Amino acid sequence: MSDTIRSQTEDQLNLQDLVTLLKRHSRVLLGWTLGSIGLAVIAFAVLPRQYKSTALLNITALYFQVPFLNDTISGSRDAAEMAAQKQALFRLALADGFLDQLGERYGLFKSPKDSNRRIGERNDLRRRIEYMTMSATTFSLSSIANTAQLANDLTTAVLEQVTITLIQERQKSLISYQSSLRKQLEALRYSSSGNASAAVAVQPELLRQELSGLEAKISSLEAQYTPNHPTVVEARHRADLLRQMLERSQNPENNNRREVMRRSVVGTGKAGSGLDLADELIRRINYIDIVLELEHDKKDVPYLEVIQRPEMPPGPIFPKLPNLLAGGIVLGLLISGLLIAYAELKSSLVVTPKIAADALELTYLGNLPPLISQIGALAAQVTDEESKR
Amino acid sequence: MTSENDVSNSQQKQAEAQNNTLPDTVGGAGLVSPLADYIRYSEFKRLLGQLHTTFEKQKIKSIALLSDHSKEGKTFLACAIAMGYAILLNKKVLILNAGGPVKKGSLNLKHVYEAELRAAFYPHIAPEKREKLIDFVSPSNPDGSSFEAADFQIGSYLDAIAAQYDLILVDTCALQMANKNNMDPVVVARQTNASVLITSSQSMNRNSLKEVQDKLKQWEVKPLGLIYNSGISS
Repeated sequence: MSDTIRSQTEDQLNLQDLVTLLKRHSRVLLGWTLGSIGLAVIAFAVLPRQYKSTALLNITALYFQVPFLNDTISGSRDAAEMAAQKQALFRLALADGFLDQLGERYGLFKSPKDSNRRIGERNDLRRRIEYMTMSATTFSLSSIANTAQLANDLTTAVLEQVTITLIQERQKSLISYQSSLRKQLEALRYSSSGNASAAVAVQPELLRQELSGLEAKISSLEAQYTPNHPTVVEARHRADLLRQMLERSQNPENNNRREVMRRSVVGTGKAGSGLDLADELIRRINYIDIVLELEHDKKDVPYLEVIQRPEMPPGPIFPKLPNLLAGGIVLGLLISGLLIAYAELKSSLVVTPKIAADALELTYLGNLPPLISQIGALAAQVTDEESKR
Repeated sequence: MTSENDVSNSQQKQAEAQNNTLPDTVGGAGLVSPLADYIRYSEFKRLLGQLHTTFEKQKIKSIALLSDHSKEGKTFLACAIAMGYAILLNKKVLILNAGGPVKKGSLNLKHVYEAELRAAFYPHIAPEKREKLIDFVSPSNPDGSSFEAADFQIGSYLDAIAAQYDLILVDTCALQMANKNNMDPVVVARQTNASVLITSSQSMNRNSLKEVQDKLKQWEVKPLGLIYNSGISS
């Protein structure tokens, strides 16, 4: 018999052995598997449902930049650093105060506000709110609750809270940045002086240039998009704001005020680097004013976009019947496998002569009493002697 | 047929030659004293009685002693039954050694016979019957390997000599030890009137027993019964 034929025969025998084994233990196998499936079905009926509602939020790199200027308010242009700052902003949004408010609003807390149990309940609520980074700019916000409605409401509230926090924090950062620029301007006041005659018209001229550029862009956009397209609408809105600011800058009263500010910084006589720097600082301060004005409308900021609004979850995420059934089948097979292995092991252990005779379907003729120790010793002695000879 | 007769003649001559050289001494060292004592214990007597009754009832003359593992006590059983038959039942027995080369720790039937068994019963037996109660024959070469095709000729040999003995005990090699150099125990067992399976603690687990059962079933060998050797530890 060649090796291949022998191998095939052995494989067949092994398969036959396996089939025989399974047939022999079919009751255990079926019983435990069906029992586990039954348990899975009961678990599905009994276990509390959990629903998950998810929203996707896009936070672009613009969040950390000042429009019109190439400045960053994050202190770093490193992507990892910006991602870490975004995560920190999420944590800030989900502060204890907000969670308390959320829990009380939806009746999720049972303990009084200042009790120790409230800490646990709050942490439990925090665990039910997840935020994850999906890509460099996209974040997923989700909430898990016992009902679909509650999950949806929680996610909506969290999304709103995150949005508000992000906008507020950006405005704080912008104001802080503007404040630092003002301090620089203040410092110049003491260190330099100069002629400001040409600077009076700088601000209106810049606004005019910006407006002109924006109008050209709007014309270009209108050629591509409908007038109601969000980009076009936003550009128009910005153009309106620029017009208003230009109008205000042309107002003699305002000009005087700016001139007073400028003169107070650079003096009245000489032109030079101090003057240029002051102009630049003033320009930046004014731009930040514009940005703050533009972003005053919190619902329409260019750096935040809700890609997916929270929706009512169509079904529970747990328990899921297919998963429970699969788990039940695996568990049943595992338990029955272990039991079969144990039974096989037990059956392969030492048996009594009577059982052995029964197993072999033979008559048990009797027991040969021991004398073998002496005989064995003699046999060994005889064999040794023979081998010596 | 010619070669079968040759082997038969050779084996008969060997048996006769051995009988002719029986020492005229009483007793023997080592095995005889304990074995002569052993066969008188009631547990062995019962076993012997059971075997004798069964053999008589079923008119069994030749019986193959089988075991799955080596060193499970086939040769010892053959010696004990032979002595029991000779001393206690006054019957004539032939021990046919169809085992393979003797392994260290196993009884060497030839030596046991030469050194012990022939002399074992002399005190009790009349001088004219002394040399006739236990015979021993071994169809083996001096190196322990069996004669070519001896396992296939053993049936006709047994038929030829059956009338001369009350019982012929065929000591085979273990089922697991069968190879090209020894007589196949299954082939031998199929040519005897019956067979007995010897087991010990070595083979007393279901897996081992199943293997034995499968082997015997496959080759249509149905042992008469099972004897458990409680003197062997695994």
